[in-house]
Amino acid sequence: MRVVNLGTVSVPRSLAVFHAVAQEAAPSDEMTLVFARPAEAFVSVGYHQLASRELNVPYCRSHNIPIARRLVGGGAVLLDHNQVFWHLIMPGAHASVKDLYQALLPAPVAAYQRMGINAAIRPLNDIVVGSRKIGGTGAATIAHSLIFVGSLMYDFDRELMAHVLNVPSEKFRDKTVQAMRDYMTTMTEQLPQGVPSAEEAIDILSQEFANMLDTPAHYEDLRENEEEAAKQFAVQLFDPDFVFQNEGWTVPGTKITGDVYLYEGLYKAPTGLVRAIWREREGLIESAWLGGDFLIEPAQALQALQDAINQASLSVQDLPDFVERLFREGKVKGIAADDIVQAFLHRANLEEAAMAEGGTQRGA
Amino acid sequence: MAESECIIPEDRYYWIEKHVWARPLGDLVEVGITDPAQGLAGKMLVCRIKRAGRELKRGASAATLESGKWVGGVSTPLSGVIKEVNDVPEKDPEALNRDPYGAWLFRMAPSNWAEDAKELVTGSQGVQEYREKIAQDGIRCGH
Repeated sequence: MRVVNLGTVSVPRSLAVFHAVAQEAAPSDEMTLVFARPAEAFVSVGYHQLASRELNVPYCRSHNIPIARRLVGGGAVLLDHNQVFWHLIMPGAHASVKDLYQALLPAPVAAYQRMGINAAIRPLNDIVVGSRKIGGTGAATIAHSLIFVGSLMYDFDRELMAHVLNVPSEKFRDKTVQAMRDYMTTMTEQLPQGVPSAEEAIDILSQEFANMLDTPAHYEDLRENEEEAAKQFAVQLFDPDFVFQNEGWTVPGTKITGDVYLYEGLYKAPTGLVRAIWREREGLIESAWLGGDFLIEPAQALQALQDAINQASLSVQDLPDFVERLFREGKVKGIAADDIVQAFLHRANLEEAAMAEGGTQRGA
Repeated sequence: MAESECIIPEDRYYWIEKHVWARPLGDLVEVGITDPAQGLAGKMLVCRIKRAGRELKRGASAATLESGKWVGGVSTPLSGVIKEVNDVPEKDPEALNRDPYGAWLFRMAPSNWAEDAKELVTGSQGVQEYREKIAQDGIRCGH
């Protein structure tokens, strides 16, 4: 296995090189493990995402945060100097996606464990410490190569991530940051006594991949044809025509980790706008916030309703009966139980939510 | 699930390495992904096909697919011009999992089908070769 450690490189190069190595590899070539650390922060969207919908583009532009589209799937991610990205390029490989993760995830998990972090695999492709994710991984096929990518997450700027994402409201942004605090962790948080240097961590992960794949690791530089291809990818992947191409596909909700999503729903009730922001884990509401500009009596009813939903571990489908019963028991007036439920049933897309933003205040 | 449960119809022409099939239909050639392709990728979430009118050389990317945890392209097994695009898998990507041979991706006016077909395998011999590949790679189709 060839190991190419680029070290700290420019933003375009950090993303371009693994695409180039994959594209240039012949099916019979040996595997290559590429490491890169971007000098500055940037954002990359998944291959099929609509960048303008996923990202707060004005914020990124005003803060000089470049935007790229990668040839790997998944959601928008923030990449910066606090993460070391690794990319395993396997020419000619034909593994099923499920088998690929099952076969390869033990290497980064073992690397984290050697560093003293109690990492584990959470299927299909997350690396977790307890219930908190310390790194996602992804896969793609580029030319003749199957590629497996991930990062060593030294630290993560959750606030910046919440700002580069296109969220519908400031409240939603706060909730996004909170969800990332609850469900993500980093090497720095896990190793308060000190983290290994990037070089040490790269050596450890290279050894783990070499052991697992039963192939000795040897360090090499990029080849000339790979350098040429990398220059082209460095332009293409950041070209606004490519980044903002109309590949519109979105899933509702903001993905926090593999099974945790944040949603916002809006419903225009006769007495005002009802806004619900909630977090679902494995399809159950884990944390909900209710607000809007409607009237509700008694004044504490909304908080009581919110607390009850948070404690009940319900799916959205369970809500109608549950909210109806609480309204009946609490003698709630001013708004109908169904108006609250409808907010959960009307998951807004981000544009709709953003348009409704402004002038809405927390009810009661 | 045994590898023999992958469906490989004899009436298609296969580019085994790329897991794509072709089928002549009058003046056009229909193209899609195979059962092993959908088995390898898992549940499909996105299917984007290049538009009609595009001229492509054999091996060029004609479509992109995204499953839950993977992205990849579909290489055209023949050169030609895309004449028709099937919007069924674009609107319902899981159609590729349910019925990869019914959910064709595009139909091409071939530049030289006779030559391109020589690079593909078909009939009982083609199916046999594909089954050997499936066994060798341990591919499961998940029916």
